[in-house]
Amino acid sequence: MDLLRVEAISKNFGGVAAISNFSMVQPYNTISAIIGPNGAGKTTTFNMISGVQTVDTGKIFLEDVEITKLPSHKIQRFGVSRTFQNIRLIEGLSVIDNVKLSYTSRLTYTMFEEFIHSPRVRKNETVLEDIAMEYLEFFDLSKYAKSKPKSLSYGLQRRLELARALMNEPKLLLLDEPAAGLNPAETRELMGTIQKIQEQKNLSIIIVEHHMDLVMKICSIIHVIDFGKKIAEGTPQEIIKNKAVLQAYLGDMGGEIC
Amino acid sequence: MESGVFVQQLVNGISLGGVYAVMAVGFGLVFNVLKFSNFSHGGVVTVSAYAGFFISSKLISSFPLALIATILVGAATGLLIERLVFRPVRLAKKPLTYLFVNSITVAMMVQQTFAAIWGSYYFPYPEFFKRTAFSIGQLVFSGTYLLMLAVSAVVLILLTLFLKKTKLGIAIRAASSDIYTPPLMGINTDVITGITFIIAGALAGITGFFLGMTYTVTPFIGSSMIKGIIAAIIGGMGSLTGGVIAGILLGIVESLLIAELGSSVTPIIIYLAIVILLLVRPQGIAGNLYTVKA
Amino acid sequence: MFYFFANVLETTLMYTIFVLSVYLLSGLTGFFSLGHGAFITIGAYTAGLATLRFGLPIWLAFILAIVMGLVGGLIIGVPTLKLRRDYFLLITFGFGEMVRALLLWTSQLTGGAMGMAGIPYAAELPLIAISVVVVLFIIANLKRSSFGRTCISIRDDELAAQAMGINVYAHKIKVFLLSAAIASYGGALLAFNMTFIEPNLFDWLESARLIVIIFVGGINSVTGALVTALFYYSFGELFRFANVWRDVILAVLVILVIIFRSQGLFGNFELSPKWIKSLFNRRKSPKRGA
Repeated sequence: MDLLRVEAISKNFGGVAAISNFSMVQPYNTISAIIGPNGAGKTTTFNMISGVQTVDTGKIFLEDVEITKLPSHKIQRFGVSRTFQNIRLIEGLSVIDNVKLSYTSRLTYTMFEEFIHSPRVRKNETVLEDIAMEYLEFFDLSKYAKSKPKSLSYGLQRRLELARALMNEPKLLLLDEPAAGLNPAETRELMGTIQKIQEQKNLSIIIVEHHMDLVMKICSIIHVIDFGKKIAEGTPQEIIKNKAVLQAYLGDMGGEIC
Repeated sequence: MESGVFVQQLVNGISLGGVYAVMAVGFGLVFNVLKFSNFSHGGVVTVSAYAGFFISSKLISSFPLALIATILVGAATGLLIERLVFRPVRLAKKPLTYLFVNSITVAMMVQQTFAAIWGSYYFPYPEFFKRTAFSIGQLVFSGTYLLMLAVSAVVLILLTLFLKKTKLGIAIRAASSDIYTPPLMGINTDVITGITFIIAGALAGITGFFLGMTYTVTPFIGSSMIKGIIAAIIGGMGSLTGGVIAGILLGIVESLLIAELGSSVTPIIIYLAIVILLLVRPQGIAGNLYTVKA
Repeated sequence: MFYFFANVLETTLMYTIFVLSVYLLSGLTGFFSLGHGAFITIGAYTAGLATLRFGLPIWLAFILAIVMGLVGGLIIGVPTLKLRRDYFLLITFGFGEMVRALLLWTSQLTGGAMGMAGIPYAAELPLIAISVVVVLFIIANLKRSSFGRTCISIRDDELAAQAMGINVYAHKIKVFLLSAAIASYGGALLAFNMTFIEPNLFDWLESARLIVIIFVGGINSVTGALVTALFYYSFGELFRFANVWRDVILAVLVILVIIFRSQGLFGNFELSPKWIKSLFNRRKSPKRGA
């Protein structure tokens, strides 16, 4: 059994195919990447897997359970967490409350207990606070716990989004261009962190990226898409030699491959 | 219903619908560009209704000139509100919510100001014409209603031509994606927004004038904007053509229902119908559903 | 004189309940209902009808008022809370007008435009004061636990909230129903306090005012909503002559606040036992600690 199986999914926007017949398999405990030039359909693919956008045709299975038509909150509860390309933190919540958010569905108290702030609510909240703090510490963010996300630097916001995604203890983590907006040093550090997360938490990670070099070192499988179609799949070594990939990248980005 | 009465009510309904259509377009234009429900539109309608009264009874007795002067007042009021109340929020790139809150605040301010000053006075518009009714055979038509219909039609046609044919009009329609994106086609979003509010204000001017002519001028006259809003919803928010069609339909349905069932049940039926329509077809007659992008 | 002030206080406190119900919906969750007055009206009329026309006991009238508020909330909330916020806003606007039209139409039962007089006087200051405290307690508790965090996440970014495992639609319905229930309970209080009600008690402007007050206090602060409401409504009751102008003053204040201090006068501040303690601590030790 594989963790995630995507079977020939497609999505059209007003007659234009954003992605067509995309299939992939994600085993347990691996990091893989979906790469391709801008506008190739990477984010759309992610949105479909995470339930943010509906699937036109095709099927998606998580541990052999079909999740194709499920809304994103249910998919998250099945153990799929994600981050966003353009960082979507909740500005009205403090850093630590942002992290707590993705744990909401696991809390056991009811709304009526919240009315009176019952002992069970208090206990739950204390435990939650501790867990959230652990995740903040893991990402070196604990000293910002009470601040608002806006006061954090871009790099720290990226880390906070990661912490929030992990709080759910996911089996599968989807990272949408996690390095966008980071400088080379921050990017290198982030890639190290991603690897560390994978090893410590025993989960699977899929990264969407358009810079191939970022993912070369940490991914075991790379899927390449261009103009909404998958053009190659393989290990980084195979991909780097693949002619179709080279053409797509050279044609589009003037040799930005490494 | 007797067929003669039916035809009369139909014509009245279309005329009233024309006014609703003008309101729906004024509301929809701003919604298109700025993506918020602009309740200050009702405030501009109120200001115009009062302005129309003072202009036509004290300054200019000619109907077309008084109407034009009122339109100018409406346009100026629209622009003034935009510059004073919305622009600072826009430039600071604050959430659209704040634009909305400011717009209901303006509506409230206008209503309460007029209520405080002239709340207990009765302002009838002067009779512009000696003949107020035309009869064709057995049928009697109100001159005011026919005039309203003619003016609304002309205005809507002119506006359509402007939006479709001129560079500025096309820019206004193109701006309806996101105001916080960079300027389009070399025209500054600030200018586009200003012009949108001028046009919406002018449309509110027409609405105010006509509502003042048909009903009594009160501080609450702007609340009749709800009819325009309903038309905009039925038409599909953001679709101006949909708003026009829905406005006219609403006018017809309303007139016929009032004639048949009375004025107390009519609003209940109309609101129920809208809730049901939204259940079945949330995007309205001609609109697209707005969705958030990931 | 005492009665005058008691009266002012009663009215102020009842309106504070309405503001708090709107705070939950608009301040915390970012949904605007221009027909929220309709729920107040529903509560008031249910209470009036139950006692006057059906001779039911007061406590049952309160329960029925809440139930009717919930029913109204379901009818409006279920179809519209799935849609974009603008639709919700406009439909609630229509709903408010519809309720008014409905009351005028059913004049045999409700008295129509003449209103309904002679409702038993059953809501005195103690009951009203306790009600405010209870509502405030509930809302403050909700705000500091998961419920409130969920509300804020929906307000700020529905899509992200959903991706964090939150059933956004279900939560919106919860919030709306709770808000409607509080508003209609407040409406029942109003009916039992004023003993006379009429359909035009709450037009859309009244609903708009409830929203606007919240923005003056600040959407992140229950304390802000409370203080602004207390100030605004007691001011209006104490200075009747300025009654019409107070809205103009409020309007100017709102616009200034939104332009220059959009987080509201109170920002993120909440009055809590902890804060009061810290006040005393600060006095004891003038050094600026944490």
